[in-house]
Amino acid sequence: MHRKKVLLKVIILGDSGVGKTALMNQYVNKRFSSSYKATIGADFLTKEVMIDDKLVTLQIWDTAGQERFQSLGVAFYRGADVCILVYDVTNPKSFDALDSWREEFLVQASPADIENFPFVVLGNKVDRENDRRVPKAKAQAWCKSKASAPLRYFETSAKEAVQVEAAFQEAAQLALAQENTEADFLPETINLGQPTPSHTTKSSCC
Amino acid sequence: MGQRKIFALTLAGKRVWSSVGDEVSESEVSSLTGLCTAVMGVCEQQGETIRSVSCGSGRIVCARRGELVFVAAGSSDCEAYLARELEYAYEAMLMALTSRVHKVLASSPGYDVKELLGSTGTVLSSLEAWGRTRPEPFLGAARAARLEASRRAQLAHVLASARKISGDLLVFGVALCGDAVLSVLQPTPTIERRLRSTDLLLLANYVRSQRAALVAAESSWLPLCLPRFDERGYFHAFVAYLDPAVDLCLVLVAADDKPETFATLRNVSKAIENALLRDGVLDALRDAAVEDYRAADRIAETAKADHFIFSRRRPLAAQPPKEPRAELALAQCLSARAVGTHHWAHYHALALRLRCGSAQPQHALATDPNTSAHDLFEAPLAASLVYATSNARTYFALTAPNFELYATFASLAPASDLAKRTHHILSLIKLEEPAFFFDPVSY
Repeated sequence: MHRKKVLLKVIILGDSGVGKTALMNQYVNKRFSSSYKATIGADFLTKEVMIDDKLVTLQIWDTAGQERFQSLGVAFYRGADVCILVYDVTNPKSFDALDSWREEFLVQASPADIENFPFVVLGNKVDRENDRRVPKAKAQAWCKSKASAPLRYFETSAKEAVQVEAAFQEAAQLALAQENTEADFLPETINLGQPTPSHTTKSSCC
Repeated sequence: MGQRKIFALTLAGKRVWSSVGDEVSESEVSSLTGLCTAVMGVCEQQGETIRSVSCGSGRIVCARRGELVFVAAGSSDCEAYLARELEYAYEAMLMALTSRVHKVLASSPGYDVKELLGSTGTVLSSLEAWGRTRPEPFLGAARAARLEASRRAQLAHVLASARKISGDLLVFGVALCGDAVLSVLQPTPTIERRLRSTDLLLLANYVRSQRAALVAAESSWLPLCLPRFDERGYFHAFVAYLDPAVDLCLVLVAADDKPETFATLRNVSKAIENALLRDGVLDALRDAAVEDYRAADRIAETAKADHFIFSRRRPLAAQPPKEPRAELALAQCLSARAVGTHHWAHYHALALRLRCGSAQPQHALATDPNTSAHDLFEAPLAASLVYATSNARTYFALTAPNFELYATFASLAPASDLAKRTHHILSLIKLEEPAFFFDPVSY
């Protein structure tokens, strides 16, 4: 059985306090802590999973939701294979912010195929169903409106490990499907009539 | 941190190649690669460039080259040395992929270049291993194979004729003996466009690293970039082993990949082989292959040196009023066989001192005018030397505009004695210069 090693870069975005760090910790470490600590800049964890006969390493980047860290975006988003957008089902403001998170990501990461870049949307904290203020249908409608094929949507609870595994598995699957579909490497034969590149004339030795 | 490790990554933090190979999983190196690309990215956003990070006794050196990032981590090597290793790794990668790899990554930052590099990752691994034990990367020079001057002239004549037989399709021709160079055919070099010694040593490394496949194939047709010559496109190289038993190999390089060019170069290769057989040159080349390090070892023994490496930047006989051709010469090196690896760390330390300008003036050792490098190499004032002692050995470096010499002596000899022994090495090399080094055939 052929087992190819692949690294997939997963970015988690969303307002502060929606549970991005908790989701990542639940998925990677199977742990949940109810105490809140704001993420400074970004953090990442890795996890190996098997997807369609491929051994895949997910490098999951948990970014800071706070506005003061937003300028660091491009350094972390570059080369992302999939983006997970997270909101809190008990906080409508965090749902309203999904548009700007998505746009910010597409601007900063500038993927080759903006239309088809894979996003997965998570409505987190469904363990607090009684406090829900964003109906599931509203979130699904938003997901349908963003691309020709609806964005994949999961309702999760990092606290009770509801749908966390499935959501990340889906993200990895989508990322893997994207692999190397965007560009072709077309080697070119040297053209000796072409002027010499300037940098080679600068170096006089060796 | 331990032994030096080298990684090539995309800006997304994805590993393209690493000296630790595929046995170490992505998740094991992911922390380092993720951290490096994030730190570099953040620094770049602030308008800064990060070159190295010290952490305890360890050091991480980073270099961004277009859309790629090269990282070296080690505890015993200096920053300058690690930075040069990264430069070689980058150029070996360009040899396999050309600078087009940057275009692909710019449009698709998540692209899996590792897959693109495929089996040529072994070329980088081979070069990395060279960096630890061999003089070529250290001196930035291709190793020349010793061959009697008259035989070398015959070989040069055969290569020059090959260019005519090819109908001018042949751009470069390189005769290799293992990883040492016997002769080179090249276009007349200019400051703008010329074959560099780095390209030549990368080519020798490439052939060596792919030896098994090349020998099995009898003749091969490979796309190859010579990055210092022009990193933007591929040449196409016809590679054939004339005698695999002694690693005699011919690399014929053309600037197009047409099937008829391959057929022409195959005929040219056959013509070269026949000419070498007819004139008895092939036997001389076989002898050269067997000789390999022996001549340099004899010099070391005669001069009572443990080991030495020597690089000729341009012909020693050339007079200082600079001839343009001399300026364009290919750097070539000569080396005694290394026993153990203790020399390298000391040579690196000496090289660093020379670059930092902490060398003694060369007359410090030349107590006797007859032992001055002046007489031998007409490079009196610009020559500089450094030496250091450690574990009852003396490590010595002497550089001048046209050469570099690094030597190890198994004693704590007085300075005047060191000067005599060094002079001895230099005079023996000069005596056999036409045999030790080749003059490229230019058309």
